[in-house]
Amino acid sequence: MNAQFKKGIIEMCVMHLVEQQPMYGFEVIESLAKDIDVNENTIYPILRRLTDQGYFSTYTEATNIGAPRKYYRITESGKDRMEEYRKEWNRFLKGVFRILEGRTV
Amino acid sequence: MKTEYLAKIKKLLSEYEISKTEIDDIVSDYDGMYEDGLAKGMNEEEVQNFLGNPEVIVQDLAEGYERKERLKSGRKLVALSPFISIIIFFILGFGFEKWHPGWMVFLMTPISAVVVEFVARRSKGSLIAMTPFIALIIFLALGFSLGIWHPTWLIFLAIPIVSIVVSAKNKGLWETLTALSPLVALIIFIICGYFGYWHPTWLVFFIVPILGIMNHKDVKKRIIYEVTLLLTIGLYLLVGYISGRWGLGLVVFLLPFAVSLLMNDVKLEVEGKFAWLELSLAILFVIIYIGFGIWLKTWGFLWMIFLLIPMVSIIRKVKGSRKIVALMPFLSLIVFFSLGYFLGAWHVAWMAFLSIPVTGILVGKEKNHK
Repeated sequence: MNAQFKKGIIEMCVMHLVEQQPMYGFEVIESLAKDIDVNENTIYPILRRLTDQGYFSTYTEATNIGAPRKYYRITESGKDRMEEYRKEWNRFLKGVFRILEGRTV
Repeated sequence: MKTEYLAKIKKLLSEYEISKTEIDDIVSDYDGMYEDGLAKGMNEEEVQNFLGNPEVIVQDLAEGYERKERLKSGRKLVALSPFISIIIFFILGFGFEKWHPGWMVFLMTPISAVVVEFVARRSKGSLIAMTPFIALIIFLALGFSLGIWHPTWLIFLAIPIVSIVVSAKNKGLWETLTALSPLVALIIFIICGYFGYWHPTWLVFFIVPILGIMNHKDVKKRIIYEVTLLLTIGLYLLVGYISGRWGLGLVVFLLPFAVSLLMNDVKLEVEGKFAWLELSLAILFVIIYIGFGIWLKTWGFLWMIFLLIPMVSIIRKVKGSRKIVALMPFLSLIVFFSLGYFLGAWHVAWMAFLSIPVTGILVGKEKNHK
């Protein structure tokens, strides 16, 4: 699969996960790696970029393992972006299925 | 092992133009994730495999940042450029009495700074970064030698045009043409306006929806809208030229609106909370522009109100300090054109465009230092 295309899908998945509930970096990587074959090292840069772009905000919470843990939480503009992603993705999938089922002739 | 892993990330990151605060933040994040991995019962090797190879991580994180050594040599040249400029300026002035246009050598400093900052970043934007200077040189050369500052300033529109063409690889033909169309329309409009044909040349802006509709998937709709738009323009010209009552002719522009309402497309195209604001502004500005144009012959400068539409869009969509960077081309175009058009100061007005790279560099630096 084209790397850029895959990156886009992973970004959407990351946004979806964090939209469900605030998550810390390791948790996001773990949750994704459970279901998709993903290069773990690409996920943190995505988290960071989404934060820079204002789609995520961060806060820290104390833990019993040492330093406080950084959590990522989706922002309002992140929710809007996710909604756009969802629409684009659905439209794209519908088109793909139509082609695969031979309904576009 | 953790210390070495983190130290490697830090060392690799410090080879790039990334601020110390940002590097510390990244390293601290990896520290946290490393601890999380250990707390989950992984051994150090497993954690490192899980988090990834520092070299690959840094490659991804440093995307868009330049390596320090590459910038260092470029920056030396930038630092030297004021001195070189002064020497050349004095040689031209004392030696050849060419104080003017000799002063232009001082442009070398911002030019070299922008070239180093933008071109050296290995982006495909090197041509885009060079366009403002090529445009400026052509503008000044034609302005000072032949005195035709206006409409030569249109050469500055080459900057967004080149940018759109260069990034066209990821877009379709019609999408690219649609993106180019407002600029091309503006060029045609100003050139024809220069010769006194502001009206009805403003109709050339219809090229934007005409090309825009070609992006529509539905062929039937494409045909209906294209025919409607062409028919509207034709009818308007017919009414105007036959009866001379151009104001009355404007009524025909209700036709495309009626068609889009019938086709239920106004609702489809206008998605989002604030899109209505932009549509309303666009309609209002068209009415103001045409109304005032016919009434007070303000065709020559009132077109600038259309710049407010993308500006409103930028204000609500672009976040943080990038907002001012995105707004600057529009603001400088307004300042530039107003100085030139109202005061005839085209020869100094171009300097307004210098605010674009200056703002870009200042905001970029500010961001890096955060």
